[in-house]
Amino acid sequence: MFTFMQNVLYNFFISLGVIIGGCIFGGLAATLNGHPPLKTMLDLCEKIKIWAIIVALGGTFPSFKILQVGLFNGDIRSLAKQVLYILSALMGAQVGYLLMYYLEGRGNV
Amino acid sequence: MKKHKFLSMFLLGFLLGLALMNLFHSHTLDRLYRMQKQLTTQLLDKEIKLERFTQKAIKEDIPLIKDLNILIEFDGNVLIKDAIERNIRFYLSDLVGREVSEIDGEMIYKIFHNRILQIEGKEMKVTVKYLIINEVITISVVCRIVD
Repeated sequence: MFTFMQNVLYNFFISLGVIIGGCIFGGLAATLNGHPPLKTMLDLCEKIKIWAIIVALGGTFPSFKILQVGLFNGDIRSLAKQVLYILSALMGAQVGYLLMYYLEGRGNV
Repeated sequence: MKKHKFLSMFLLGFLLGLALMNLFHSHTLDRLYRMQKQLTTQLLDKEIKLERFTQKAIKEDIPLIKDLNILIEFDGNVLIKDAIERNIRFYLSDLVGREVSEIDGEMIYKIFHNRILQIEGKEMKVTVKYLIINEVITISVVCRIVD
């Protein structure tokens, strides 16, 4: 089993990878389809941001189950852990989005 | 097993290379797509204006210059030939939309005949073969590089 910090790191990089990988290969598909790649990449980034977080958390259900147990059975420790996992995944996705945003040139192409 | 390993390495490398090249050129591609859209819009706008002018000219029965037809004889690179055409078009483009009776053919001949054009660091001598002034101005020129 992974420790708490290892899980946080995993979540962060998985969501970052989903965003960056999805955008880069989506951009490649856009080029092959004859669409502007950077614009498509940024559009994709916004679309898949939330899915990157869900993928990083390994599907939403275990997280929600732990949240439910934490809330209704008073297990605050695991509830806090889950919140931090979600936050780390969220941060990973946001960092990925920002990287793509600055790569695009903040709309100044 | 080893074959599969090499194949997967090759495919991964190929995909990553493609993605990197795409990323490297994405700014240029986006800029070109943007320019293409802008030019398409401009072209549509100009076509609408031209259509209105044409209709007005037909109503008033005035013959106007509608287009330019530039014929170039040049033994060399087509890109240089295109540059020569652009150069000649630059001088003649103002004539489009004017009345045919206003056009001074001798002046056009004198502008281009034996003119030396500077294109990509090379000097080109233009000789006018013939000039037809009608609703479409046709100019035929021979170009050769001056040694």
